Amino acid sequence: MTSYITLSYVDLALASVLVLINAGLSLIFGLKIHRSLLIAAIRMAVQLTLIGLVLTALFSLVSPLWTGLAVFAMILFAGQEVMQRQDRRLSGWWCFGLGTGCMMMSSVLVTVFALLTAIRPSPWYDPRYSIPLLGMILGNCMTGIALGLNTLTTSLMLRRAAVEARLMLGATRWDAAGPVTRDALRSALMPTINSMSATGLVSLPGMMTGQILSGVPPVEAVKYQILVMFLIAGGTGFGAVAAVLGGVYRLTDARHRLRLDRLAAPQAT
Amino acid sequence: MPAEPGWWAETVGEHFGDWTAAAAVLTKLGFPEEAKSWPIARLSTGERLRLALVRALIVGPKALLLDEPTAALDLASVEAVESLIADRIWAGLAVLWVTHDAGQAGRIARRQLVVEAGSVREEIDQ
Repeated sequence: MTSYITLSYVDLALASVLVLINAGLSLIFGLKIHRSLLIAAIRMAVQLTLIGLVLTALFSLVSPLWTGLAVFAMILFAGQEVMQRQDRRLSGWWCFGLGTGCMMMSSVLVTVFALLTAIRPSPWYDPRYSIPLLGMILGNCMTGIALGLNTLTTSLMLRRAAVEARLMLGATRWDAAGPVTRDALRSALMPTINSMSATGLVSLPGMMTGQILSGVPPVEAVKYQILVMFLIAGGTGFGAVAAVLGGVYRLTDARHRLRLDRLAAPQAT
Repeated sequence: MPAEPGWWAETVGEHFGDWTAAAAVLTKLGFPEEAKSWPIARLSTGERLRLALVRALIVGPKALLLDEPTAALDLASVEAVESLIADRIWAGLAVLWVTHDAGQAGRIARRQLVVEAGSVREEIDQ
């Protein structure tokens, strides 16, 4: 017997009227966002329905191979998102490889840490726990890395003269890029810090709310949420540090020169 | 030192690790002690060039590449910069100085290379 209220498709259709109202407002005020709003809403519904089916299959299989493949696919999609959020991308393979590699390293590391130390499901890779946990960490990690790399590349372009000046005066590449690196890391971690500060006061996180709606006692749901917030902060921090330092490494060279020629040409808009 | 130097901090003092050592050189180029708190954004082009020169000298380089370091300076400042660099040259600093001022080249250089259309047209040893 379920301890939560199940939703029918009619309930979902009723809620979708709100999106239709927003699209109508866009038409009335000439915002020209109704099309993208409707496409995004349909995309979201299709994607979530599909992932629901995939998760159902994964949960019933409890296979390390299929769980690993699902994790890998999620990371590849996240890598693609990171790449697309860059105003100035690194050229060549680095563009996709740096963000994806750092996300894989940090999110998998933190997820495995949580599975082995805090949650301890049996088996440890049980997709019922590992996939949602990785999804939450990966989503935040993706935002942090995308922001960090974007700030790094745009700041290096804008503050090129300042970085060059320090290099000319004998600073190492790490010292010369220090202020830009710190700005990039701050911007990468700011959403996580804001989210932790506001949680409980301004917002009730989706996972905790979901657990409460499904009948979990609020105190237990809060414990899970605190764990997840710590994991997100850790994963985003590790990933952003690795990605930003990797970006500095790539955009400078062993002779301590700034190598902005390793950025791809700006994207046509 | 480029013709348009870059800056990584907001005030003059933040560009020097050892302000006491920097102030000693800055005063020779007409900066007062209180210049430490001056915002870079409010400096004139000439002040920026002089400041960039001090910033380069203070790290004790063995060689200095100067791209028209006195192009935007008044006569008194030009003299002060030339005198400062001349002292450093006597102390063993190697300087490659790019200038359009033939008179200045004559005053400073031990060896002049006259460049025209990307090639050395003439070489003068003094």
